[in-house]
Amino acid sequence: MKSEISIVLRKDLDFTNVRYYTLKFGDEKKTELDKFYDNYQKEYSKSVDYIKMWIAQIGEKFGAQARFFRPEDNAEALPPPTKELRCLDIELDKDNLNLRLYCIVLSPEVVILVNGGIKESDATRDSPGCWEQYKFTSNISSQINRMMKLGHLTIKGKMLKRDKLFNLTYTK
Amino acid sequence: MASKAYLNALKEIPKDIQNDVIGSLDIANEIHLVLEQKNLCAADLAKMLNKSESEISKWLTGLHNFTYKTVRKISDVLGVDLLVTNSSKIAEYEEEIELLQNKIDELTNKIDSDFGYHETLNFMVSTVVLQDEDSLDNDRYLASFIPYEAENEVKIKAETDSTLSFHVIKG
Repeated sequence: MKSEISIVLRKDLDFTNVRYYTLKFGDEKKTELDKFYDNYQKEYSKSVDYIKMWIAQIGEKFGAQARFFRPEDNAEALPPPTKELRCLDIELDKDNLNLRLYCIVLSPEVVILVNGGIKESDATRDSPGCWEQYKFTSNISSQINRMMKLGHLTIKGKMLKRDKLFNLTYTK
Repeated sequence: MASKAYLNALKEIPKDIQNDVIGSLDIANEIHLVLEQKNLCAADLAKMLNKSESEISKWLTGLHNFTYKTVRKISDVLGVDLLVTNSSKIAEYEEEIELLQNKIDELTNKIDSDFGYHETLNFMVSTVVLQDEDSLDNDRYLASFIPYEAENEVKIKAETDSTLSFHVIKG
């Protein structure tokens, strides 16, 4: 079924240097980021807290520089690109290390946080826990890039402006 | 001042995780900036430290748990102090303020000797702004003197690469 996707501003994530947005299916109540937190906050609380802190610190102090995000084809992901997370806390178990939050970095000031999951193997396509979320993020990222090239979506500072005649869609 | 969103976010996140992320991102960013200033890349730092390039790249993403020894070693090879304590920072600023005060005195004497205005020209420094030209967001120091309304602004380029701005008024 084809759904309309809207870009939603996260007022609670409007930091000094980055304004974060998320995505929402037209026929659903929760945003993708809320779904991510609901799914993982309880079982992977430590990983989620780290991700929240990276989001906050990058947003407040540094801005969304490419080096803080893990490149995932035409999208990005948190945590930052390294396997060194274990250095921070040896109690983190393997599953906690593999929690990914996919995002679309549009500029150093505008980032769309989408959804994520557990990456069980090296290849994302072999990880059922996050493959769907990755495919969705990647698809929306392509649509956004196209819209930006055609001028239907523009960025001004921390603001995103969309031509109302053009919508993002996704078929589940 | 921190944004409301940031302050609220911190309320939810355990202190140990905050410290981990703040500390590692700060040091990673500092190394990144120094490398950029010195026109070096991660590979150069890797060679200097006899480490693999991939390890240095990981450091620069802000996830490495730096030990004091590692930071010291990086500071040594880059020739910069990556761990600056508050007291050493204050001492550095005090030194700069003293230098600027000397410049003010120098200019006072120059005006006095060139124009002989000393008796009739009552000039005051209303504010001294110490600003590093290379990095505009650096700490800005204001030393308030007698608050007179400014008529002219005089700028002096100090030897420290800092700009001294002050106002001269006729009394």
